Amino acid sequence: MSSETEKAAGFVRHLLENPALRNQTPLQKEEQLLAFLELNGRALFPTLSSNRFFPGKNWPDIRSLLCSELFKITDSALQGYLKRIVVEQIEMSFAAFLGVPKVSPEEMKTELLQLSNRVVHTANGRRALTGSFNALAYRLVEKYIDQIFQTRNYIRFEIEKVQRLKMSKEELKNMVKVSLLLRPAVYLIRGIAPEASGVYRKQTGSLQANIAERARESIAKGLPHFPEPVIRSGVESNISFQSNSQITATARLTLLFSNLAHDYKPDMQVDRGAVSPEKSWFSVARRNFRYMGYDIKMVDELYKIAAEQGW
Amino acid sequence: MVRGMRGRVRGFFEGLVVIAIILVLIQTFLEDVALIAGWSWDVRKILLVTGFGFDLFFTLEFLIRFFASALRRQASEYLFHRKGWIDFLASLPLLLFNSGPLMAAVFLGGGTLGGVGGVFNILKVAKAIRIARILRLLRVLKVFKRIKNTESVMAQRHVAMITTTAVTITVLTLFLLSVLQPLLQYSPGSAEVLSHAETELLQRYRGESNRQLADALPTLLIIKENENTLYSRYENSYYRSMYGPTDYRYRHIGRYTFFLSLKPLLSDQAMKSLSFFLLIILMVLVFLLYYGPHFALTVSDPVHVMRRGFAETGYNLEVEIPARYRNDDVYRLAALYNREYLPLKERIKLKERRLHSDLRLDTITGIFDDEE
Repeated sequence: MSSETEKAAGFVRHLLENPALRNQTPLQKEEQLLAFLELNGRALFPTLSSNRFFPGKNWPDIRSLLCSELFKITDSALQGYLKRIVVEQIEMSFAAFLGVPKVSPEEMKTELLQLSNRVVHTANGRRALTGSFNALAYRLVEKYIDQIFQTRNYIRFEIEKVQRLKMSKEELKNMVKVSLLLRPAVYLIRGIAPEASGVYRKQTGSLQANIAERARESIAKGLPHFPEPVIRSGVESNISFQSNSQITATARLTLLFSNLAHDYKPDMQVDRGAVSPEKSWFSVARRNFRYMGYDIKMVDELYKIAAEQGW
Repeated sequence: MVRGMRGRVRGFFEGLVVIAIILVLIQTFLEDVALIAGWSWDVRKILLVTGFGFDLFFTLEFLIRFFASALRRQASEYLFHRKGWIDFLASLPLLLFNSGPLMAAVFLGGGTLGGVGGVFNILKVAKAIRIARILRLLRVLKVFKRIKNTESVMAQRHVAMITTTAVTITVLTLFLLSVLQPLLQYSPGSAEVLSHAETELLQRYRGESNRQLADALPTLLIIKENENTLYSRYENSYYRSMYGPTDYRYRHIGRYTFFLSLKPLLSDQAMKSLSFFLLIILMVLVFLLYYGPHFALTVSDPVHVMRRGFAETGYNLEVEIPARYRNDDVYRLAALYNREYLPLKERIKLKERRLHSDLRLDTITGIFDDEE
């Protein structure tokens, strides 16, 4: 490793160890660092271009070097995380309830891991993966679906009666988790507009239906053992409910969980006099539902759950 | 290094003042208790002397602060904006009109001087004004911060303002009453004025029936005819141990001199003084422990949440609006903030692709030092 890459790696590691980023997922930390470099480039450049660091380099080159090391560090942390999530957290038995006659869990997990790794190595997909990844890492799916099943309101009705998913609560959790991992896979498809590039992301459901269908077919080819409903759920989570009221309940839930988790911080200190983080998020989401493409009734129900649970 | 040493000296001095404030409040309380409980003169003398010492200390402290401010052309700033007038009221007048005359009476003798001190005795309650200084200094005490929920500078200032106002009005009212009473010829028990009945009894005395007179006049201590003692209620040793120069008065009628105890009167005054003192302490505690947290929770906390929401891109927490306060101006503003500003902020953040990072430049400058 050259001296410059060592210095870059050392600098990046030092930033990643900052207490402000404690307990965040690798992808969250990566986004924080990318934003930090973007916002403070001008202030950092004089020192980083000095003899001590990267003499003779301009800021784009320095930034590129730092980002390259950042991605390497994140990738190595991410591999372990993804494997743990896919192998240990997700059970594929839900596929049996979706018309797959013989479920091959190992093959499904292998395909899913391969797909996720491809997403990680796509700039746009990587950024879009953050929310989904966080939702799984922080186990948001489990805690909300437990409450959804307990309250037996709109969301449960949509899942059981409208989408007609005859599966248990645990199977539903696994399905939604897979749907979350499939959500950013649309960015593997050539021709999808780069809504998320670099550090920026656009989280409004804005994919057009015909492009979504093309994406679904392409992804399905790479996941031959996966049932069509779960692939559809992942892809459709990128479509606005306002423009298409037919999108499935699990797709709508996937969008909400992904966006909720994107900036989620598990140990956030809530100021005295402030509403809890998730309740605040759903409250804002209720007012922005048209802009974000959410199902307002779903947001209302999740808001009430967060309020009652103090989340 | 010089600045660091100056800071340490200032901190030491401030600490000394805080300790002095607490001690003087204890001394003020004990001075009245000593009169009510009838403690010996030796103990009371110690309390009087320490009281004088504290008044002298606070007077010097005020003069130092005042002249130091004057040298920096900030005298009016100190007096009016940094509560210098409280420092003044709680020092110089007490020294000149209360503890000073009492000390003179103790060491020079003479009930008259003690009487002068007595008229302004009510100024003792002004010592409670020192409590207002604690509001300023308690801010730096972590225990206070944790308990009182008043880390906000605004909350502390408001609590200090209302406490100072209430205490000052109470003290001024008491002071005015004590001044007005003699002017309105209302004397429930003045040091100089004997009641009509007492005067008549003494005037009828002809050198006999000492026991009868003593029974009729419980405050009578000694009857003297020229230098001869005709009657004494107690032994001389008792007078030496229990009576100071301010504890009695004397009246010449004809060839007789009557010495009368002021203790019942002083005890009564001390009880009133103690009542007002405790009232002020209670008032301050209620403001600190009840009003302070209430102000913090219903004003400065929602303001703090909104301020962070306006200042920080990544801060999106709503303000909690208690139902019973929803019509308060602050919470009506908070409702608008929740309903209009936060959703708009989120949309603008996405549309304009506004970046946010929890990392701050000032927290990472250490990296560059390490690399050296």
